[in-house]
Amino acid sequence: MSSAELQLVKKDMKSIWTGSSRRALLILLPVMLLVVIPAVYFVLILLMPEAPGARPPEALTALLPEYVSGLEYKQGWLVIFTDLLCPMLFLCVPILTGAASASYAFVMERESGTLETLLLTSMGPKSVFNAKTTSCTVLSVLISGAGFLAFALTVTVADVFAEVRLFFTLDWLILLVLEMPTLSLFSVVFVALTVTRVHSTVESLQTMGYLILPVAAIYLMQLTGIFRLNIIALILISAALAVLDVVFFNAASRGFTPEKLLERGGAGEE
Amino acid sequence: MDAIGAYDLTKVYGPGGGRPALRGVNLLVPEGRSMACVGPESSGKTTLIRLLSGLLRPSSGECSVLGLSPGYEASRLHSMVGTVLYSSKLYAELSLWDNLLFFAGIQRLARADAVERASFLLRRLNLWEEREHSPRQLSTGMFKRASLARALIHRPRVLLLDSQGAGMDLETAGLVRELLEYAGSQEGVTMLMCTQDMGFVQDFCQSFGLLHEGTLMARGSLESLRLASGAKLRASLRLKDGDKAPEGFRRQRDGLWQKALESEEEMPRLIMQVVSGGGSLYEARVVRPTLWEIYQAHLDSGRRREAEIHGETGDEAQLLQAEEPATESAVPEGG
Repeated sequence: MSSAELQLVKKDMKSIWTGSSRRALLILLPVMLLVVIPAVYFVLILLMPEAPGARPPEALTALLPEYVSGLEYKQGWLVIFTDLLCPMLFLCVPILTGAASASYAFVMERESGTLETLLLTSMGPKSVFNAKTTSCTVLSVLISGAGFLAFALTVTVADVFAEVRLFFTLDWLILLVLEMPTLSLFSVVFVALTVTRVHSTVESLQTMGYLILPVAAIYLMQLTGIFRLNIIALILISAALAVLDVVFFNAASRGFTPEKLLERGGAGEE
Repeated sequence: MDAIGAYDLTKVYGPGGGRPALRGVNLLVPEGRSMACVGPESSGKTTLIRLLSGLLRPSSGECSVLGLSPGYEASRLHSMVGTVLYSSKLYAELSLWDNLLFFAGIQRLARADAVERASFLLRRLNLWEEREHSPRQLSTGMFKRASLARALIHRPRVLLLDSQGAGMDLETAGLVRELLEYAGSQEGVTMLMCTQDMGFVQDFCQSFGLLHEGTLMARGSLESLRLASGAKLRASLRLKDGDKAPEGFRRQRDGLWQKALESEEEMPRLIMQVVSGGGSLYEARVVRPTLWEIYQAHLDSGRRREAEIHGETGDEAQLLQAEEPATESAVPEGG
């Protein structure tokens, strides 16, 4: 990475983070998804009434490790929530932060006219694209990583309190090391790919919905008890995302030309 | 060597075509010289700058800046070219000083060099006191000066300027002109300015291009454009109240007497005529048509030619000219 690209990466990360509304969004989203929602859910589980001899649905416990079937009702629900639904909440964070960062770095800069100024420097469009993609992805990964630490703390407290085995397994390691970074990059390049098609930052932020939908659908389908994303599935999904990252990155990079960007940006036709 | 060249340069926006924003433009700007392309809104000025700076690709024709093709060698080009466009802005979240240092860094200037250059430009443009302000806090004139500082931060060899002069306050216009003159004379910067403020560039540039609806009507020095347009020089006399001017002179609202001249060689004879006739001559000078008047004269002659091509009679052509209020004031007849 050239010194100019590094400077732009630093400037972009700082710009995204120092904007008070942007920072609030990037902090509140992970806190809500990874701390508040799990904490509320754990409290509700602990407070819910328990009939003598009640057990969590067998179809769900069958998807989980053997020891779960031996757990009590509340303990069982805690593990079901942590293992089957929390990955979805966790994966929403790289999607949301990646897409939000990219919306600011690409679309907002185009709207404010500073992207044009950057394209008038010796960096060239490809370098500008690389630097912006890097800054958004790094920021998304850092926020997701920090969010995971907060989540881990919340869940660990719940696990200790409910006297169940700690939640962190190989599945979570794959989510953290493979799926989260590839999903971050995917969200960023997806927004970058649409930068020449959207009209505003708000419209760009709406693309987050398209990205969250498939992730939510896959994880919610686990609650039917038909299937569970095992380690192999997670690795395959990560690999598929990595391939899509490369494809989308190249497509977005090719489309990142001044002419296309300025056409949509309402460049004067004087 | 020509620093800037455009050869049959045409730009049509959008896939469906339509009226070209720029049509068959040819121009050359030798290294170290300044040229201004002038015209009203929608005459193709911004498109020309965008094409030369590589932000747009031509629909047909070619252009080159310092021997580079802007559309294909943009990165190399921008290391040697500074561009000011009305739509290119500075970062609102950074101070003016930080903006300049950031863009200097992006242009690969060493930190010490960037600090020195930014200080020099801000002082020359009287923005030093505002260096810690956000661009959002600057007035329009200050922002224009700041944009110029950004474009000059890396000591470019060529400067492409869009909408210079337009909407500038007197202080800004003066400071910008001074800095551009310095850049031209001391740093050897070649300049192409596109503007509708013809007064701003008239005394500054060596050559001019007259743009109208995407077409370059004419180009050349002010004098060659004047000769081609048929715009006349005028003799202007200030006489003692009550004195009568020689034949052919007409009194203007400001009390001066004016008459169209075929050439300035006529002037000594006219002065002699007034003095030998016993008149009290306080002031005599040759008034040259302004760039705006020359532009209008070219526009009118173009319209007349068009009217002739379409088979309209001479009377109809004259009527067309008479309908243009700007024409009458542009080239006032002396007698």
